Amino acid sequence: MKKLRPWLFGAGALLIVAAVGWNMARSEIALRYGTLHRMKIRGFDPHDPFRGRYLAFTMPADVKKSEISHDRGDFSAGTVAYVTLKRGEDGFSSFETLLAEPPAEGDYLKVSCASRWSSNGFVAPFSRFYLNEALAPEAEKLLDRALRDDKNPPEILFRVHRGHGALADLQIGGRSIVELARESRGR
Amino acid sequence: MASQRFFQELAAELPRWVADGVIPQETADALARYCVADSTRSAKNHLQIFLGVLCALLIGAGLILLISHNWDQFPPAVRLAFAWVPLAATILFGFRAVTRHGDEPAWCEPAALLLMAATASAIAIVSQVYQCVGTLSDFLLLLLALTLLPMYGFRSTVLSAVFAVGFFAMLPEGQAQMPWLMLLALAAMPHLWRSATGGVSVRGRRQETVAAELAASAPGGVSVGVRQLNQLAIASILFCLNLFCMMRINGHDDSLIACLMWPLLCCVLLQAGWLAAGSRAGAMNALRGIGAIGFLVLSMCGTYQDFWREFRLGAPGDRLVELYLGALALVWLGLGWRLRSPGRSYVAAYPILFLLCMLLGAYRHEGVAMLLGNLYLLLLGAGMLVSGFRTRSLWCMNRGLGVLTILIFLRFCASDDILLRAFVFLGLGIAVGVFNLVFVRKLKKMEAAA
Repeated sequence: MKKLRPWLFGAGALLIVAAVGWNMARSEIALRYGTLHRMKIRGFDPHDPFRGRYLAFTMPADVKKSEISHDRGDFSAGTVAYVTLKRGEDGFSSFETLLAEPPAEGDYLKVSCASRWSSNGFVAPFSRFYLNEALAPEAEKLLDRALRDDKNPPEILFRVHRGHGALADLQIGGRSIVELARESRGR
Repeated sequence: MASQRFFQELAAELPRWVADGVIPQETADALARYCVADSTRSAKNHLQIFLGVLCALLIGAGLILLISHNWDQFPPAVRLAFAWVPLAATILFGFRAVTRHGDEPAWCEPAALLLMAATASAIAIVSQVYQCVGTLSDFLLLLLALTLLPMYGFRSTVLSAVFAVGFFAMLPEGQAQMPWLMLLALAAMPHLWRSATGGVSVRGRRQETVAAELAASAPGGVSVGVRQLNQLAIASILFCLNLFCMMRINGHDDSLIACLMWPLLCCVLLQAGWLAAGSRAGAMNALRGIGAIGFLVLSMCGTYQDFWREFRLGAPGDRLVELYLGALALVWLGLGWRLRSPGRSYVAAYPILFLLCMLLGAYRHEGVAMLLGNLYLLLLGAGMLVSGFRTRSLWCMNRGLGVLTILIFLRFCASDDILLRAFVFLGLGIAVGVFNLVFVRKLKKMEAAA
């Protein structure tokens, strides 16, 4: 057992590096090479003890399950599925169809199916926007105001690459909420 | 090498062996001296390890807080460097600890803790920078999975404790991850079992321990003296009176009554358990256990300003309640002071502290009340650590370290001034580290002189 310990440690260290690196690489690739999408949201401001303050939001998910689902019958809670994205005339993207297999063409996101009591067919791929603790309260106020403003609704920008999405920004009126919160706090 | 528990049990058996003529008195004295010397050496080693772990926790937490204060100014590349550089450093340090100091817990335990802290912060930083999807349960599950192999590699008891705490923390919220959680628990079981039993062959030890406990509990169960019974009776009567009065007070809402009952209930249970500790009766030990947990939870709540803002005296008619509580607290102090048990003064003093903090809250000094609450927990943890060192009780030292770790974690996750917290943590970490170094050097000089 004594001789095994350095090997166990080495394997553990490799696993740690792989886990952190894989997360980073996947997101970096999506941000560099993925297709940009914008989507309208709604939200509030809770706290994650390890990753700090974040703005929580919900994404609109009126999605119909594909006809394939009847044959496969496997959109039970926790199952992996794929939701396609469609760009509207106003430039905003929306979820189109939930599929059991990845589509041959077009942008899509890999998601997890929700419980049957959920109003959506799947768990939304993005639900949080992390930001500096000092800016979070100000950002929450701005988001709250924007949600009641029909002229400048808040939106998220994300890039999609082979089913993996990376959140790029949360904007109000075309400007980043981080920038707006900093300006507002500075006043 | 024999465990500390073996030496303790051996020392306990010696008088019986001398009485039965198995060994002469001189041999028993020599064995007793040897056992004491070993347990002293063992206690010193454990203290070094615990101080090392505390130093690692404090400095690690201080650095993280310092970095998070200036986080917004750093570009993403620099933020990612903060993720990878500590991780690489702790991996190298851990590798050195395992290969060159593999049998020295004083190296392995802090190295294990630093590695897991660096891993947790690396995952958190990458998730934050790239806005990765995932709940707290997902984060904890990944961390538990990554803790597994280092736990075996370092043979770390601290990581076992972290794993156990993380596992139980995930149970309420981690329903979706349950199959993976169970799998991880199974994989960790051999090491957790080993940590819990101290590496001693369970079968042999259990047979002897069970026999000894059975032998002691039967006569012990009837040896509770009249004096102790009187004290227990007084404690029970006071508790009932208190309950009656609280239920009869008008004009106060339920939260105040519940708040007043909590510390008194915990202290009654704890003191009742201690009063009968000599009997080794299982029910009283369970009572003591429940009381201790409740007492600890209450002490933790007292470290938050919001707690004293919520529960404070101040409504008209409360003077009577204050007087009553004051009298009760003095009685508890008197009762508790007469107990022959380490840590009795901390528990006995708590009702007075609680009352003082409620009064401070009533006069809008919740900040001072919060500071007193934190100071109390700090002294409690440090007191247990020192008491465990003096009595050579690893169990007591573990509890002291546990209390201090909980306090560090609570303050780390608090939402007040980050920079102030960072400097306090770094200062304390450096102080503990320096103390540990001085302590180690002093020990080495004493051993060389001996």
